[in-house]
Amino acid sequence: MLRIHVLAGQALVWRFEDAREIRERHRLVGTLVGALARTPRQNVRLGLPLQLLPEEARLLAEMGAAVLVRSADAQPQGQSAQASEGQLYEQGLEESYQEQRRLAAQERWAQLANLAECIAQGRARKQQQRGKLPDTAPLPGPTEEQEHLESAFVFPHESMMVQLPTVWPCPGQEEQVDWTQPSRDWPHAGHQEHETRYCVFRDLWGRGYYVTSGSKFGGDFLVYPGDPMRFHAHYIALCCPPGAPLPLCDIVAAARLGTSVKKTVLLCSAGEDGVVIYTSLQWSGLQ
Amino acid sequence: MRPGAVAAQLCSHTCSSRLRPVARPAAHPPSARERRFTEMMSMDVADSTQVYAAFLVYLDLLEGRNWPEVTCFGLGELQLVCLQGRERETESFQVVVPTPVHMSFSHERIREIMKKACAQLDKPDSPLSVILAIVESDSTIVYYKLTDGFIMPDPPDDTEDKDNKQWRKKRKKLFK
Repeated sequence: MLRIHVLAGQALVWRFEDAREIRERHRLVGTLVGALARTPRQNVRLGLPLQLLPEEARLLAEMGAAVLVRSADAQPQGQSAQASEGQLYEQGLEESYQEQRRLAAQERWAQLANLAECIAQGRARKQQQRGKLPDTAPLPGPTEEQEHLESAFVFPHESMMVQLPTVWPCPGQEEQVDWTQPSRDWPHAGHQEHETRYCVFRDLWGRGYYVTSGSKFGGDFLVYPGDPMRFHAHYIALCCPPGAPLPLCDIVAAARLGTSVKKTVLLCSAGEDGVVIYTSLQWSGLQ
Repeated sequence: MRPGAVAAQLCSHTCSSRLRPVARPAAHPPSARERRFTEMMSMDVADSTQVYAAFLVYLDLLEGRNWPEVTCFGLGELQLVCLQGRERETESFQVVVPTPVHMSFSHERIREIMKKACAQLDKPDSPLSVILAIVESDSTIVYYKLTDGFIMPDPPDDTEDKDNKQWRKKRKKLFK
């Protein structure tokens, strides 16, 4: 069962298996909105969580493929509890540091052993240059460097590796959200606008299209004949609430935009019987 | 509104690039175009602004775009004067719905207009389609086509131009 976390009306998917299934099995695209841990300061490639449109989340819930959950309100922790959590973390960090320092020192020791011969030769050459007699063959056993390793080895805290967990740790209990009722974290249920948009969305999705947000083109949805990674959108869907007047200026603006970006504007409205009617708006071609 | 009064009003527009009926003293017989306007008015179907818009579109199609044939008909229940014509002899008839820009339509009303207007054409097999002619207060007319269902957009055919543009940009950057 897919889990969709809702927060203030936004639907988020945190598990990558769920995100993948939503795209591959259910033909819903969503938008990745998280920063990637390794490349944080850019917006070209984003990572989890996957944010779904309210219509996408509702469709999954209605199909029974997903549940909407929210984090239960966190119990206010006492000061001491918070302090001890902080202490535990600091302790963990210190232990990790000591372990890493030990391992680094071991590696350095091994490295020095490998290079012992080179070091001895270098030293002999220097002594010759200075006019002293070369030492006898290097003695077996730990070299000077190795002996001084323990005291001279420097491993600053900045060089330490720190693990950043990228799987969202659930801080507390989760509780299910009923998508049919409006609530603080899912306020869409029952709103006329949401109902109209959902009707149109479900109909378009039911016809086999891929439907994404159309705000970049001034519309409600963008309709693709296939996966958005492979196709350009064919239609900009504008949802018209029943009986709402459309100013002609808006029709001209929408049609003009559609012509210039080579997409057809679709005026969509849902009848009372749930049937959605579509009108395509195109430039007439009259010069 | 009487034809003479309308003709005088038409003259007062300053836009000279648009075709206008020439003002005549009331004594001269009305031209074919003016007769058409009277005909539209006498249909008593719509208010004068819509009829005026219809008349402007009628003139634009016939005189400005040289459509060979344009006739008008009224949609009583919807209070609109509509036009029916074809762009060339070889093409089929289309319905043009003129409307002043300040009118607003709901999607349902647009559908009704499309259904009734296409019933006029008497072509039950072809998809519902009208041309909406939006008339501005300065007599600019824009034409947009409304069709029932999904009409795929034309595929982008100017890929060559696009490549050239990007190539030119790259060259500029390289040789800067």
